[in-house]
Amino acid sequence: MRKPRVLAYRYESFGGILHLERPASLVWVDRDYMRSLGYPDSPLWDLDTPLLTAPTEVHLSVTRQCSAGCRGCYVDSYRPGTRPDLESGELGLAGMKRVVDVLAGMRVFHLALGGGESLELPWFFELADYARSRGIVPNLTTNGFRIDEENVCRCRVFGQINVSIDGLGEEYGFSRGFDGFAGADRALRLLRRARCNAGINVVVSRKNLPLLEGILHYARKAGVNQVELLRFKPAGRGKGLFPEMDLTAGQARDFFPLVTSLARRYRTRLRLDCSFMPMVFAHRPDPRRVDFFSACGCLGGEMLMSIGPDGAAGACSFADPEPLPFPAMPEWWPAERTFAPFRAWRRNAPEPCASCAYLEFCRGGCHVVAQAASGDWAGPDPGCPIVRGNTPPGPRRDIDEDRGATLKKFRRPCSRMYETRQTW
Amino acid sequence: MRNRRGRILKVRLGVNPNSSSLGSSVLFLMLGSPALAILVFTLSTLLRTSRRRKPDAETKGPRLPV
Repeated sequence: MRKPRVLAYRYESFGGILHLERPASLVWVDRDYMRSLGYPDSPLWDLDTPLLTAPTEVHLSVTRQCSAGCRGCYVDSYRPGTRPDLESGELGLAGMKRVVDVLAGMRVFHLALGGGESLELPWFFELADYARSRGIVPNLTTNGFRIDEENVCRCRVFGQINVSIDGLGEEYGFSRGFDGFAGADRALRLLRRARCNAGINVVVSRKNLPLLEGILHYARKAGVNQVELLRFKPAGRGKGLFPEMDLTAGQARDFFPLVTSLARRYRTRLRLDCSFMPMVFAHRPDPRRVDFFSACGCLGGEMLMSIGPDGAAGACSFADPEPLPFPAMPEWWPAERTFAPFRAWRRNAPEPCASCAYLEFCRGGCHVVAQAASGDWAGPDPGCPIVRGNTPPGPRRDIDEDRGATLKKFRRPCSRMYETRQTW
Repeated sequence: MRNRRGRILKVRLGVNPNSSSLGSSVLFLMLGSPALAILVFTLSTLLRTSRRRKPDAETKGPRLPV
């Protein structure tokens, strides 16, 4: 049996973070644990700072070019050759390699690569290979249209590659505005045949939530290793569509019991994007589990950072970029003013967030949604069932509260799912 | 001197390929406590098995915060 491998490690003030290969995971450990594994003491251990020395993952948008033209595209991508002004501002391969060098120096663990459509770039695989050689695991989200028999084996460089599928057959077009299912399905089959770690990204909206069971059934048959559900965001071309695509109050309230029931039924490894976490926390999961397994809402500017095609850095892919040159990232990352609205949000959290037991985890849900809905970036996420008034906030809980009552919630029969199906 | 083994503080399972937002596995919310205990025990065993024998040349760690 091959010896399990720690792919990478990084010292932090509390001890360190270890990147395990199998199962793929990041593990936070204290100082004694690091010592027991043979790591020497670090000067960082004399400090006590809550901020990580670097993000654990960086979302790197390598281009805004994309031929697909999805109607809800959050980056407002452009077809190749139509925007020379934007194209000339993109860093290209050499620039992106310099970005990777800076991130490798800071010991970032993961790169989530995207765009636009990264696979339309002829040098993209070279960048992914380079990231690997620098000790960072590249991962990819793609529409899959550019994956073929010739390049699919090169996709093994990715730790995880997810194909975007928001619906099956013609339902694919409900979100995207065209039927690209055949191309996405073909890509998925090629990836599975090439034994890549392949999954599906589903942008969930009011229109395709009722179709989710079919997608998870398809995912099971296709043999994917994960399904990640993403909330439709009011950004880019999606801004104007948001009112018709946002989940209804009932759908938001019943989202978490529904998706977990489906995930159990179809034995799917389910991931939820950070903006769905208010829908999770409204059902009051055990805070100790949430804390230990690091299920979190907005950790932009802390665990996560984004870099755009022109090298501009932001707290997340939807945040306005800040005038922070990426080569100087080791200098500005730890500064208090960097990404201050994100990092300091909890100190001035509005109600009902301030009284919520999950404030430390949720962090106000998605600020992009709050900005679009109310014009107040720092306001509570209007999609949160508690904010909407569908669920009372409940008292702030002590983490040592009796766990039995909380755990009992997750042993509820699936019959509840049938109630929720009828409501939407 | 007591041998302090330390403890695991937090775990993030899986890998996030999504380049627009941070994804979290919700597997831990679907498993019972015994399954979670086995998962954490397995992780700890794997880490202890991969124990480093010699320190690297680089021992300073990353740059200190300003």
